[in-house]
Amino acid sequence: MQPDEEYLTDGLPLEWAGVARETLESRGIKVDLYRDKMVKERLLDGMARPNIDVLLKFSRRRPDVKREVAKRLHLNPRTLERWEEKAASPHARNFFGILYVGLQRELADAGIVYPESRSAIEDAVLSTVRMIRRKDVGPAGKDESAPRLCRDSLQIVRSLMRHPRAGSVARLFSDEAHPADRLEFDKILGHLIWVPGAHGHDPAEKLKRLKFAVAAIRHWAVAYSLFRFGLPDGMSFILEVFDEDPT
Amino acid sequence: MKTPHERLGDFLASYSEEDLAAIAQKAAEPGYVPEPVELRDDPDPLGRDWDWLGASDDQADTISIDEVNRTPTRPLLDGRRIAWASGVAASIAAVAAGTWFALYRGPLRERDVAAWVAQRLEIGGGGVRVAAPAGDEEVESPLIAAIDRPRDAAAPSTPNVYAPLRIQEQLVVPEVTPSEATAHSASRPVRSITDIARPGDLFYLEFTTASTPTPGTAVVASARGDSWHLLRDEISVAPAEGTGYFGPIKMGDVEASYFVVLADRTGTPLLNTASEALSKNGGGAVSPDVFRDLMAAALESSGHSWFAVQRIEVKPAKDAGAAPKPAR
Repeated sequence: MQPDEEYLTDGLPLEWAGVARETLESRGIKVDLYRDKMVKERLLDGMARPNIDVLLKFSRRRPDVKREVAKRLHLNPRTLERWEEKAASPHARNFFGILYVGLQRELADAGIVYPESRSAIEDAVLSTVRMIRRKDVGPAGKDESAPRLCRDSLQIVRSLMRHPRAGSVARLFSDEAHPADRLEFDKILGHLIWVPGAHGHDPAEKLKRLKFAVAAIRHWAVAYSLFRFGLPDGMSFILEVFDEDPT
Repeated sequence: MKTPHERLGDFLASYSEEDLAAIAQKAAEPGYVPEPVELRDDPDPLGRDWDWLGASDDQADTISIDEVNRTPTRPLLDGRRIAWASGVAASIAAVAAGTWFALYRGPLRERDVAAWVAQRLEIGGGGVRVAAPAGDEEVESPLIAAIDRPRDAAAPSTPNVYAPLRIQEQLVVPEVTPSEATAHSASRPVRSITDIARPGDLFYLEFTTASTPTPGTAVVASARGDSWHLLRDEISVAPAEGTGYFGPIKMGDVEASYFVVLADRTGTPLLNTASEALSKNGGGAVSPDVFRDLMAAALESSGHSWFAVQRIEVKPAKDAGAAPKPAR
């Protein structure tokens, strides 16, 4: 895998930036558009999603309220149900439509309790990476049934990307694979399953952790690289929403 | 032409069960420590030092798979970044304080809570304030100023740490053998502290909300001998608040046990769930552990994802005229 020095990305080894770029190009997705817009918008929509869910649950308490919400928003009731079933994702702007028009409530309504920002962000990141996996990564490999992405999987993949020799892992599944790289990867796996201060030396427990780590990398490493590749400037993309420069 | 994702899958599929077992075996060897490496710098793209992922940069090389240990660590945060990201999240997603109806609930998990008696009400120029005697020299320190707690624990990192000193002495973390540790995590006894109050005095139950992963509510059950009651209020709690107060409660002539129960919100009020749990006992004596088990069963059936419970035994001060002494 060729290091991609054209698209520097925080938190991503150059080789994994190359993985992300190759994936996008193989899927016919414009690289610049991806870095400028696509991932950012998905992430911002993802932040609204758990808040919209709160409103949907609020309306679900009474069927007549739910019907009224659909009527006021000129929505097919089935649309609300599809949002609730996660079969479709509402756009972020629907939050205010449901709140002000559908429920006719205030933002600080005492009866509506919203998620904390930390929870909303975790939820948004996980849903964004899942969407990337579903839409951008491409066909799954043989016999692949991806486990649901969770916080622990994301931590494993992030730890992998932070390892100083993570770039060699990207070479392992390219034409430039070198036998020594595989030994390096074995060491990295040992690092990923090591818990400082843990006193247990149960091989079965280590094997369980190892399989979890390998599955996390297999199913989510490329999607994670695309996620980070799509947020090249870190939080500055949020600041530009307010037309201010990061300092 | 295969995509990178497919090629990665093919490569990892080349690891046989034996290959993985060999790596695991090596990692399980006594004294095994992976080769020290300097992890690459990885700023949080959301500017929050990865608090949403439950890891700070200092601790991100610690991999936690065990569900039991998923309590987020408290990173050292950059205030500006927090303010920005929090403000942005609030603006975009209309985040306000309150309860998160978790989207992906797992099994019910028990969390720690530290609860104690805020013993004294003092009348001052601004009205009545809650005050408590400190554990050591800092007598008469106002409770709300948290003088008898660590000064840097405004948002307590663990329930024990933020408790007043006299309570921390009762909540010293016990040592257990490695073999006990596994069994202990599954069925440890309900934590209990003893405090005192003068008969006739008003007091509050003060408790930490540090270990609560999401906003929720709190209720209190009281026991005097075999007689169990629920206090009628159900109050909101949130991790960001740090501490919560329940009361006022009037101290009687005999000792009473108060069980502070915290849990996340569901469609069923926590008070109803607690009432249901106690009614299943059919009256009579209930040990703290049985009470916890009854609560856990009722909470699980109501769809809760976490709860915390602690007992406070409040004993009447023997000398009703003297100032209350710290419980030891």
